[in-house]
Amino acid sequence: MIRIKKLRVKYRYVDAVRDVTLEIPVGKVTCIIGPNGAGKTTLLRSISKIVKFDGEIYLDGLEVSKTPLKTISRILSYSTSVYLPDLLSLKVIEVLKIARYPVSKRFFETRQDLEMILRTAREFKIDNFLEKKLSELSSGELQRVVLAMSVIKDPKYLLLDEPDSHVDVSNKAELINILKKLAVSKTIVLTTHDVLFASIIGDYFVLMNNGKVVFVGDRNEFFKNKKVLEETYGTRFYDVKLGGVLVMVPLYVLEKYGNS
Amino acid sequence: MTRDTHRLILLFSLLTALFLTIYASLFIGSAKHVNPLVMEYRYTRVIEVVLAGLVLGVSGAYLQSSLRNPLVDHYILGIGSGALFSVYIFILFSSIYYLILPFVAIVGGLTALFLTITIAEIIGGSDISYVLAGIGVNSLFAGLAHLLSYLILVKNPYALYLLAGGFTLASPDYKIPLIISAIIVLATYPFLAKPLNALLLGDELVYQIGYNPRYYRLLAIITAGMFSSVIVSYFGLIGFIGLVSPHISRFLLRTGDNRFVIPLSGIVSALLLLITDDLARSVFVNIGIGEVPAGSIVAVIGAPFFLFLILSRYRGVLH
Repeated sequence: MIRIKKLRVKYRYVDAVRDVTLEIPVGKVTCIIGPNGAGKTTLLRSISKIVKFDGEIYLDGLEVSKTPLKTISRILSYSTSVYLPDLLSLKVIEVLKIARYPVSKRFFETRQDLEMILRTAREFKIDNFLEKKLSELSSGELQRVVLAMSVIKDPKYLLLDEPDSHVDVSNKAELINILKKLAVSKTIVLTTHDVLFASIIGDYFVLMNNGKVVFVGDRNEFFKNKKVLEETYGTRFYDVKLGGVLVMVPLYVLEKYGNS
Repeated sequence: MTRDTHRLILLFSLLTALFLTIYASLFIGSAKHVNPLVMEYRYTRVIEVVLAGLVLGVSGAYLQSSLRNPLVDHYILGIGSGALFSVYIFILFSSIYYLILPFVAIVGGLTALFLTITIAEIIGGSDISYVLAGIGVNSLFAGLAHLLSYLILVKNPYALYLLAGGFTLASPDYKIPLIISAIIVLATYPFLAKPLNALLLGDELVYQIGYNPRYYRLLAIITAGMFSSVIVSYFGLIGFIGLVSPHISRFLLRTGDNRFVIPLSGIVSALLLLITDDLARSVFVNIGIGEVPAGSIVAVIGAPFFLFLILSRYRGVLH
């Protein structure tokens, strides 16, 4: 379980995150949603010890600020989009090897490491372009590589920063499938702009606005408190049942153009 | 597995090539009975060229990976001219003490490096901004060094050799400091190779691979800056070798994995520098031109390579 107590993160003069107290449950998909600049990414980066913060974060009982990076890197993966300069661009296989560093014990990869890398590559259907450079991949392929990187060290928690950015509609369904499969064995915490996407895969929801948490709750509570969501985004939402699953659809389209 | 084996074979065959070239540089093309003094000088010079090449090649790989920038080496970042300038200042006020010179050079080299990095980060931190900041810092210190070179001409004519680096001044005194430099640089390799690979992915991802990017970047940059300054203090400005060698290594290995690139870059750089120095020492002398500085030959080959890198990468991108 990830427990956050009175978290505060400052960027220069602005508080990106203020007074956040929160518990993120194990074994579920937690979606952090909110408008731009709400502090979603900063929250994930604090948990992964990438940014400095005030307050306390407990990762399975370990206080993050006092735990060495090496230990944290074995427990969780933080993943975001990667950009590599052309001439230094690494191949897919090399990036996967690097992602395995926290758990590989030797200077060079052992047979076990390589087997794990190949198995994960097959799982994410990236095994047919392992020798391609990252700069040559399509955004859909790159997204799968990024996800593969985050699971290759077999962490307990996956913190995914906007895994659906740069993913077009045709690939979103596949992304949801991948995430659902991962959710069987991992605790996933992700940020997203897409409330519909979140409402399809989320078990637990954190709504943020202006650096503060304005709502926390499971699916039931999320759909019951539609009002908070509408206030935060300034847009109406419509909950529909699609194939037996309740989802949340933003109505910005109707609001703007629907009445004419 | 097999791919890695191929890479190790490549590494060892180039190492063999280096040893063969060392042998050739010492014994081929000379009369049967060489004056033992000449032989000793030649031996010293060849060893020092190889050590200098090793340090410059590894430093280049460190700088490129830690700054995520394919366009840099110690020369382009201004470390070289910064070191040279401080060495000249020192010579102006005292005489040459070969044991103190490296330390003086390190101060100048690191100052220039710090200036370049600060300016580059202020103007945006892209790889081009590093080159631009480097040009400015480089010109400043190179200009100052040129001015000083006239002042110290009376005092120490040999110091002029440092402007276009070369190995004519190779002296047995330099051997120990150079060996120590090479050992320290190589000793950092096992600690830095994997973190430098991680650094290529960008800082955010480095944290969750378990390394603090600032710490490892600083370690790599300072190691490279310090020991390339040592080379400058003895042999002067030898640009572009540290830029070219990592790229040649990446091309030969078909990977950017620093566990292979760093040592190969050291070997390639030593090999290239030795061949260049052989050319400078023998070929040009035999055709009647006289000895030319190895640094100039390296620049003549290296600068077009640099231009090629820019052309292949930025064609039509910069406006």
